[in-house]
Amino acid sequence: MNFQEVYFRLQSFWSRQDCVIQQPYDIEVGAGTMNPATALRVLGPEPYRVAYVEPSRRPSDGRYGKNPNRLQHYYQYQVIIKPAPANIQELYIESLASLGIDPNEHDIRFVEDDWENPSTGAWGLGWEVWLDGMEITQFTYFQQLGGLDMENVPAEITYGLERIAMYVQKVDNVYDLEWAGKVTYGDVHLQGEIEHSHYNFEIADTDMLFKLFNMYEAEAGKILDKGFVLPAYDYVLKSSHTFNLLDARNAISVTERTGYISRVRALACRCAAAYRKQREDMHFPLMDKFVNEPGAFFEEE
Amino acid sequence: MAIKNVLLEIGTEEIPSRFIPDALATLKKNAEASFASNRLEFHDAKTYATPRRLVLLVTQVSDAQTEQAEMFKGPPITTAYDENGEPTRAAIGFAKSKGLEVKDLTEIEINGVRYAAAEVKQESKPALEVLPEIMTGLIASLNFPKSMYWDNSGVRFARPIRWIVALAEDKVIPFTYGKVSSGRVTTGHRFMGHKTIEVASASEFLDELYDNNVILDQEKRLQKMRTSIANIQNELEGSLEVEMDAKILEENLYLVEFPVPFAGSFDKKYLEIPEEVLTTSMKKNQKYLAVRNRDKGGKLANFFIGVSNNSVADMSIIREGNERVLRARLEDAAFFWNEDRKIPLASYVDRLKSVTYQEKLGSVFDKVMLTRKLALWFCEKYGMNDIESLVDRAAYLSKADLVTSMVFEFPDLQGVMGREYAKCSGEDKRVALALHEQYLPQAAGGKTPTDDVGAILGLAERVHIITACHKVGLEPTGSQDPYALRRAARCINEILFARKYNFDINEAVNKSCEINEVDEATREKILEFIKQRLHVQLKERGFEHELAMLGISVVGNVPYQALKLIETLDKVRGSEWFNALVSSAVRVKNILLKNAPKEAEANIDEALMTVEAEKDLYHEVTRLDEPVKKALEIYDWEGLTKMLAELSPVVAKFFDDVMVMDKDEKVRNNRLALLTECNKLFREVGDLSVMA
Repeated sequence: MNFQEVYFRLQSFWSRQDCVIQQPYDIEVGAGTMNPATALRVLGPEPYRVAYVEPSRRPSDGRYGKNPNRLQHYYQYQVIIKPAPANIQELYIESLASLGIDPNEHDIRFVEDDWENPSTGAWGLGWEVWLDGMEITQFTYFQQLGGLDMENVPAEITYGLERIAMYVQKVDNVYDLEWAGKVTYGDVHLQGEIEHSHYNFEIADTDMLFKLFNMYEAEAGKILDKGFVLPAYDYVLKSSHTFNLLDARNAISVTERTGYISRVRALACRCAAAYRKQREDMHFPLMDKFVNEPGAFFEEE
Repeated sequence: MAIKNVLLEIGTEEIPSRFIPDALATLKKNAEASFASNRLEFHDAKTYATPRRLVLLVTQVSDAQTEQAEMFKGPPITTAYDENGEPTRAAIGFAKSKGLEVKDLTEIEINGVRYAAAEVKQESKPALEVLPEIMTGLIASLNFPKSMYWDNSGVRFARPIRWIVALAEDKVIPFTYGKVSSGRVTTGHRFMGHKTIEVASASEFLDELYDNNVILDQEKRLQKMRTSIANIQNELEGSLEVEMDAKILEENLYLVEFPVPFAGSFDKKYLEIPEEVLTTSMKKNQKYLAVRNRDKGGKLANFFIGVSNNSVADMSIIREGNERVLRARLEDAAFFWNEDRKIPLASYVDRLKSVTYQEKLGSVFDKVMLTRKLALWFCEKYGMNDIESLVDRAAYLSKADLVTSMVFEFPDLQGVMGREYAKCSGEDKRVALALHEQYLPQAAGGKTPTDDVGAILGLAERVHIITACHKVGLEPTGSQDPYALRRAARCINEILFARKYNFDINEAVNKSCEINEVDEATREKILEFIKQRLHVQLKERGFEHELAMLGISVVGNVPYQALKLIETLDKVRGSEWFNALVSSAVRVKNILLKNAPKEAEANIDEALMTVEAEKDLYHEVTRLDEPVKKALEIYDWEGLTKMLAELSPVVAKFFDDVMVMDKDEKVRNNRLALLTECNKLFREVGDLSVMA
């Protein structure tokens, strides 16, 4: 199964579970959680079911293309099911089966791993999912986002696409993954990993980044002041990514770090509260748009 | 008739392994208490758990609550009934308040007074009527280090509750918790059992689960795990031994419902990496057991044991998957190991300048330099000049490994990597060892430094951080101790005990305060802080509060000797002479409290002594004055005790024979002066009266 087939199958699986199949967000994010399809939709009482691929940027994780397992740009497959149905774990296992991972041939395990993202004021409890000892998914029940309690607890499932594909294809080096036909993951991304590692660690202009951070932060605040949420959130994402770049450049000391993180969090919390209110003012229009219970195939042997 | 078994199964999504041992104990304790307070008799309560279920099984439960009558005291008979024996309004009111007719009142007698009384019977409800509430209460009473909401029912638990089985033998105990209703349907092993299993009766529950590949009883599960591991070991080379790490075993125990241990291997080339690096990857991340070679002095072998939760036709798939994961991790570690060694350890020291230790305290580099100063002072002060250059070097290198990539990746390896990289950089062996031993002991009762260099370094750093943190107001408050200063103080004492160092902690703190320019008030606070820890530690060693106080009052500035002193006193306390001495000390103290002699009258005149016992005491006190001082000076606790033993009968005799408060003022004052001297002597060995 080549790399693209992995996410085709996930798209198709979650599509059958009544998920809206969205697309990656068009601003750099550190994780699929940051995409407003998760970060904002989980707020308030409205249900939501969504799945999408998210290219995720972690500037500090760059290894100049030399490490077989670590990338500064990689792909997550993100699923949000809100509210979480009682059979969500079974659904997830079923999704693995759709990737040809037969649970009866493997050791699939849910091992404690709680999730926290201080810059969005978010945390949740859950597991990392092990496939024969390898972590392939992060599974989280959100408890808070933007400092707000979840009114309808969603389950977040985040697949590490490269990890899964590497397992399925039995390769030890991510760049050897077959993407499509003869084209490998390395063909698509190796040069980018090398160049971005150089940029992230050596070239990025920290003075410019500091200025940008301040500008993005100010802009987000201004937009919120005028009562708009979605464009403001875009600037939160931009400031968050800018912070990550500065962090990769070691331009922020340990003590300053907390200060920057709390500045991003303050904006994220404002966005969350504004979004929640906006939806309420709109009388929660998604309230009865998701009618089918996902996972009707729950079988008895 | 008794109900054979009462069963509660809380079916969940995977509960974190580390939560389970406590949850099992709490559930058992709460169940016993709850059944008892609900007046349901039972034989015993057992608790079981896997990651997906917490189970309570109570045997031989009475099918109804025990009847119980409670007696309430009413008004005295004299006011409850008039002279004709008719009940008064007081009696009628009392009966009514207890739900009885006045004719049902009875009598009790308390201290010879007769009262009207009401015997109120508590009704006996059938067990099935009270069990639902007991069960709900038990689920609600479980607390976890972290808990969560999973729906909007408002209930919290470690992870979502998905089903509940509650049976009184074959009858369902009906209740609803959150959105889950109790019933008799459970589920088997996630991959090796039926999804729904109807449980006919509580007695068949464990067998039903066993048939569905859930070994519910953790003892049996552990047994199976151990047996399988032993079998695997038999198949390995003769000299290979699985390291049965109890923590890893327990972690795995609560990660599986059906344990299937398997052996995997990795390339021998990784064995060049320090063992701690390999075992950290294996244990912490993957929860594998290590395998060691008995013939090679317990050296790590290139095998590991994992525990699968699934028994599959082709176990090689699971084994190879795990091997691949470990390979990736070891490859990472090998990369760091090679990268970090490209420059000598000393070259990392400069980079510590850009690592903040604490905002107000500057960089880690600053901290290292101040620690170094104090460490060198220790060497000088305690005549350890021979290791001065080693301590100097070790102190300089002490935090260098903090900025290596290995420690960045595996923070737990700080110290270990310092040691290993120091060896590779050609540093002195004792310096390398010290880089690791500076962090010992790592837990209460853990290993302590085996060499002076690491011990001195460890002491210096801890005294330094306690001082520095107090200086900028970062001392612990309540349960908050972000810089782990309590632990640091505790470690100081542990090291002094273990290394038998007669170091004066006051002097060390004084020096540290001088280096850090700390004011007098803060210095006092620091000394008090360390003494408080010492007191706690002495008590933890089984000594009573009073004894610990006594030890600290005499020689608290030298913690090791405080320990030796109370060890010695502990042996003699309870002996007749010691008790006598303590009572004498109390008498002396009390007399002097009331009749403190004036300065001018404090001279003792032997000519004024009329009684033999008085003279004897005078001679004894005079004789012992010097040797007691000497014993205290050289920490000769045996000798000191011996002298106290000699003094004891003499003081006792004095109190038997001598009337202190003599009519003659001169005689009286002379005796008080003698007692003052005697008290001085006592006070040198601490306030013995606290032992009374």
